[in-house]
Amino acid sequence: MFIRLAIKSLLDRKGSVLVSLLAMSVSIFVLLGVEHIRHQTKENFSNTVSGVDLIVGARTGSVNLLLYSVFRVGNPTNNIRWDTYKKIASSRKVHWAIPISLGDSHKGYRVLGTSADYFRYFSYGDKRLLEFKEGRAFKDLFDVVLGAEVARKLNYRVGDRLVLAHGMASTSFSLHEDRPFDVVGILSPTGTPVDQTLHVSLAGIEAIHMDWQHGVKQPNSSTSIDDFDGVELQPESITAFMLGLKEKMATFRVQRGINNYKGEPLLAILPGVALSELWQMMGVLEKTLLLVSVLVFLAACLGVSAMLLASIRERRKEIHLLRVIGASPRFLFFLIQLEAFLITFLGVILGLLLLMGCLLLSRDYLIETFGLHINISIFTSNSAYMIFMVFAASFIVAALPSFVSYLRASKGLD
Amino acid sequence: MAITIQNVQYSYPSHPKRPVLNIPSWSVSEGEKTFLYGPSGCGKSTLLSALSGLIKTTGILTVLGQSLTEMSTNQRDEFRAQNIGFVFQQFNLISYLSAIDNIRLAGGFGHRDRSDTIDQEIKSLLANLNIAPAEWGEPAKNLSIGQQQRIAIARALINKPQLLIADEPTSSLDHVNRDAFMTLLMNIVDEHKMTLLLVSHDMSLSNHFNRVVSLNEINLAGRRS
Repeated sequence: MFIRLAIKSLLDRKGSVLVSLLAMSVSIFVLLGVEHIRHQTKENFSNTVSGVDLIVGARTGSVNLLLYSVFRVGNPTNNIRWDTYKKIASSRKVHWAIPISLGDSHKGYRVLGTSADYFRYFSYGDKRLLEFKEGRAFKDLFDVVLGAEVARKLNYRVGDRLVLAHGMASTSFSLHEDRPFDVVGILSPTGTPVDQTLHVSLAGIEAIHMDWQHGVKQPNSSTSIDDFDGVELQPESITAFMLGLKEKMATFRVQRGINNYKGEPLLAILPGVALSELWQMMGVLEKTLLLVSVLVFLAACLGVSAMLLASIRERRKEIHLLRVIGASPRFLFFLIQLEAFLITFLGVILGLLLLMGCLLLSRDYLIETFGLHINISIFTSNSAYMIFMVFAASFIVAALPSFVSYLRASKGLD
Repeated sequence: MAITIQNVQYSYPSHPKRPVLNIPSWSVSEGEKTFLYGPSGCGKSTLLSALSGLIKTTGILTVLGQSLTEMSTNQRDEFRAQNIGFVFQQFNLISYLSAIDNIRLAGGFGHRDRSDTIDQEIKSLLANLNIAPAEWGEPAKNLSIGQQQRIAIARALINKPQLLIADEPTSSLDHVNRDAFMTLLMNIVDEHKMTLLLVSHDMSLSNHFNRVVSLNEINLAGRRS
């Protein structure tokens, strides 16, 4: 009867309750949404690369190198020479090396020129290696392996043929039309930028740029696909490379050696350290967002409190009647608290549904625009903690109207 | 005795030096039907609040053999729920609850909701008071004042109280409904052998009672005002 009384009392004040409920839902949506996206982004970034001891590129900022080599965000400042790569990769301390060549795209998705070692050694998440959903790694010059998202969104299957574009723009007029690639493999989803990448061999990258200068195809080019038969194409430069070392203890020594390399200015970074730097940079923004969402939530809580306080004045006769038929001041205190709890509970449910709906609708946009894989399932220990805090905050702010009701009843004023 | 008062005094916290109740001595016997009257502001509502334990007074205030002045707030609330029935002029019912829920709520405070027969008792009370079954589930605000008054009587009776307090119960009723209400109330009081204390300024009701008291005669504070 106690719960029924609270529910019917709220239903009797539909208008003001609905406004409070909407304010509460939106604030919970913002609070949990910011926290979920923050948590997911961090997890996504941390899971993108694992098992890589060093990333090497032309001298730039460590965060910039991490962003363009791993997250395919931004552009490299310069390339590094192929012979530099070969020299470092052949060091006795190096277990494996993966070259990376960026600069081309296909319908907005980046093309990564690399070696077959990429499929053997590159790992993500909890040191998980890449797996093929269909097909195999590239072997021939014009073979391409698609990331899961590229294949899904562009509806490609093994055996399909596609043309790469010069540059990163989603709509490019500089197409390598005369040298199309055959899809030979599709990778399983990883939830990392690998899913939005097309992988080709370094030789393939060289081949499509034959007869091109400064991003433009030379008018009198005469090289045909048949001319590449039996020719070993070797790049002059690459964008960056990843290193796996034989002994982890040697990481700092190798890093120092590369940073002091005399042949050309290089930068070697530890991915974990660069990620921490990235998060430190994001920290202020992250905290500001969290603070704003907490303030929005507090405003909604105060709104509920004000509504309940006003309702006590409106319901003086009802509260007096309850007292006369035997309701104790404690009963009235918990009745007001239960009403606040019900509004918060419904607010949490609506807020969660709203958040799940928005995540579902914006999932593709977040992947395509920011490369962010946001999980729709928002039930984590973090969100459970947040929800617990929401209920605790609502209990505290409802304490004022509840206590007013208790006090008035105790003094016989109602 | 159903009610015994000795040297009872009460002042509102906002005006501690201006007592609204100052009754040296007064009592009501068990089974007595008392009509209490007096002008506005003479302390009628305050006396009823004191008798029901809603406010704590000084002096000796005993209801149905229990000293209210020695009870805690919770004890007074329980005592009120289990032993005293109330009928008011208006706002007798929680407007958004049905007749059945209003009565069940009062039953809950008197711990009658644990009884297996409570629903049957509620229906039987409503039927005896001529409330049509179609109206039992209607929110109270959809019912007429007369129907609400009768449901209020049913609500007052659900915990089988020994004392029934009625505060201006007929003020909102026309002559026909007023007479019908009084006849019904008196029949119920006789049937359940309850003590009745009815407060009103409508002296025409006094002929239903075996005792008529002016509050000004017993309340010295009221007499001064």
